[in-house]
Order: sequence, then C-alpha cells, then structure tokens
Amino acid sequence: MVNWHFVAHIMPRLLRACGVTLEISVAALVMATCLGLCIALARLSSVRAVSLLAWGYVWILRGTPLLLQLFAAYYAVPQSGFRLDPWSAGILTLGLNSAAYFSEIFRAAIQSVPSGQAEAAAAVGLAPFQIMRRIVLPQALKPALPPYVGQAITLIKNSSLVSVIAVPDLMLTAQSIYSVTFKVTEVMVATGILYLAITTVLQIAQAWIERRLSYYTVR
Amino acid sequence: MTVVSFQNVSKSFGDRQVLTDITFDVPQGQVVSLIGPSGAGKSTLLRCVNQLDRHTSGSISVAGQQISPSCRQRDLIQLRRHVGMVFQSFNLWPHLSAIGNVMEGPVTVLGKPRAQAREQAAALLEQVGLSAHADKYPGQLSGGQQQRVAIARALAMQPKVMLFDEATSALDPEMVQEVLGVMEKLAESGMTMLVVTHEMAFARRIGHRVLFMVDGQIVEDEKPEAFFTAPATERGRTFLSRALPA
Repeated sequence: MVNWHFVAHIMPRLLRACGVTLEISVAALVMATCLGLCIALARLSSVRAVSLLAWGYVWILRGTPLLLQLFAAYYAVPQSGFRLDPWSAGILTLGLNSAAYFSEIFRAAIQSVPSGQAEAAAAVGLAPFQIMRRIVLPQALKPALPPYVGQAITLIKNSSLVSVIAVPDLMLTAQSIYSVTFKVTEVMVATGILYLAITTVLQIAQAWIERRLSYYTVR
Repeated sequence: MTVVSFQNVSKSFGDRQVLTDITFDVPQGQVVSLIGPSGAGKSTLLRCVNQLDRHTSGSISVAGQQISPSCRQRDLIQLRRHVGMVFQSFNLWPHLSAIGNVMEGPVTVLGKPRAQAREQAAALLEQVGLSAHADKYPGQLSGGQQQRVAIARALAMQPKVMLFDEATSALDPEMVQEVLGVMEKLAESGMTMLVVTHEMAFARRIGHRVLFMVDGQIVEDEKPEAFFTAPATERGRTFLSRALPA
C-alpha cells in the first residue's frame, strides 16, 4: 500500500524540483517553437540549398536518440573547448531536438492551407512574407495545435532525461529520495502525479484554444 | 488609353504549350468576355494579366507597367496593386470577417490607417449589398454573398482592371444572378474588365467585345453581336451550337 503520509512529506521537495523541470521545459519549448517555425519555413523554401539544409537538420535530430544527443552536448562538446553547464546543455538539447519535430508539425499545417488562400493574397498585392504572416500562418494554427500540444507534452516528459547529466529536475530529485529511503512506490506515485499535473494544464489549454479558434467555422 | 496589352505572349507549363502568340489591347472602360471550350487557356490568359501564372515569352503591359517573363517579385507586387481578381472558388480568408477581408489589402499592402480602411470597406460592402453582413465570417455567408465580398475585396485596391475567372461557376443557380448583377453594375460604372465565363447570355449582354479562344489561341476577336449571330470561323459555329441550346 502507498504510504500517503510519506507522499505528503516529500511533496515540498518534489515541488521545488518541479520548478526546475518547468523552467527547463518552458525554455526548451520557447526555443523549439521559434526554431521549429524557422526550419519549417526553410524546408518550404524554393531555394533548394535552404530546403535541403532544413531537411538534413530534421533527418539527424529526429533520427538519433535524445539521450545520445544529451551526452554529446554535455560530454563531447566540451572536448572541443566549449563548456556547457548541465542546465544549458539540457535546455539546448531538448530545444534543438524538439525543434525538428515541431518543424514537421508546422510544415504539415502550413501545407494544409489551400493554395487558393495564398493566391488570393498574392492577387491583392501582398508580399510573400505578408502572405505567410497574415493569411497562411493564422490558418495553420488550428491544424497545428493538436500535434503541437502532443509534442509539447512529449518534450516535458523527455525533460526527465536531463537527470542523467545531473540537472536537479523532478526525476533526479525523485531518484535521490528513493535511493535513500527505498520508498520507491511512494516516490514514483508522487512524481507521476506531478508530471501528470503539468501535462494536464497543457491539455486544458489546448481545449480552450481550440474553442477560441473554432468560432469562424460555424456554418 | 490602353489598360492591358499583350504582345505575342506565349505560355507553357513544362513542354505543354497553353498560350500561343496572344496579342490584344484592352482600352480603358472596355469589358471583354473571354469564351471558349474548357482547356482553351482562358483562365491562364487571365492569370497572366496579374502574373499568378508567369508567361514564358512576349510582353505584357498593364496600366503602363511593362512585365517581362523575368521581372522581379517587387515588380509583380507593384503590378498586382492595379489588378483586381475574382476567383471561381471565392478564396475568401476564413479567419477574417467579411469587412476584414476587404480591409486586408489597403491596410497591409497600402499601409492605410485601419479606421480609414474600415470606412472604405464598409462603403464597398454597401455597394455589393452586404452592409448587414460586414462582421460575419465567410463560413457564415452563402456562396453568392461570399463572391460579392470577394468582388469588394478586389475593388478595395482601386484596381485599373478587374479579372473574373468563372466567377459564377461554383454558385448554386439561384445565386448566380446576384453576382452577375454586381458585375453588370461595375461594368456600367466604367470599370475595365476581363471576364472568363460560361454564361453565354451574360457574355453577350455585358461584353463590349468577345475573345473566342481555342487551343491557346485567340480565334475570334469580335463585337458580341457579330460573334453570337454570325461567328466567322467553323470552330466558333461549333462552339456556339453546343454552348447555346437551340
């Protein structure tokens, strides 16, 4: 049976560690979103070299394990003389890795907007970047949202991997508690609840935004 | 004054030639009906006027601006400010209200203050009979209403010429008339118009001139009366006998 008193007892410490997980996740999420959009646009560029570069980025970052990338950032990169503290290595790796996934989500969403939309904008005289910003991206938001939130949830869960490079996040804190107390069940239940709480907030946000975005499709 | 001029314009998609040696001039205020069997290149010709399709050879001039097959994006944007286009499938932007659709060009392209653009857009929506629907979204409007918003959207840029690419083909029959009515009013106001249409009676009524196209070429260039009563070519006679029920 779960000793709920012990769960309550370790909660304050886990909550503080939660702050670390949140901080890393939010920083990585912001970075991955911005970079992902740039990569998606690069991928759709009519300049072949640019598009190929974006393709290569996605190919490598999506095709190798995140854990390997973390180790590479934390252990291999310093060998070339560029030291990263665990936090920076963690945020950077999570951000760069997720950007690859986000870029594919954004690309698919952008391509799902009918070509007549951009054509009508071009006919009115909008420049290509204006067409993207004013006409295509706002319409891509809706199809992008569900997979985007899914990937954001994955990012938060993947942030637990930064524990292997000694970032004191929720996962590492949990491990250090049960390695002393041996109360693995209690610690895992408490930690699971906290991860679930964070990802639930995202799901609620998704439902809310979806409602906001659906008003103009009423027929 | 000549508003649209084509000199020996050809266009191919890959190795498929869709326009061959097209030459014609449209003076200001003229309404030209472009008719012909499907696949004749009518829409492509129209889309060459505002360069949604780039031509492969020859020269096009619109409102005094020369357009070559190699000209830059900046020149195309300049050109498109002066050319309004109405599409078969409306292509209204669903995330913007009717008035938002009409305001987009003046605000984003011309940098007009929003209040001023809104005022102008409201006047245009009134002109097409949609004042009551200004704040509705395209998804809440009927096809005929959407197409009238699309006409207002094109007019908001104060174009020198308006292009209509089968503007009524996607409409339910009972909505065709409301759109044709707006187009007719526009023609009477002196707007220069190029109209691709399958509505023969309308082409005859609204047009000052008929361009009859077959296989990427202009086969007849006549006054509507002459073309519809006595086409000069065999192709014209065949087309009319099929297009006009006896």
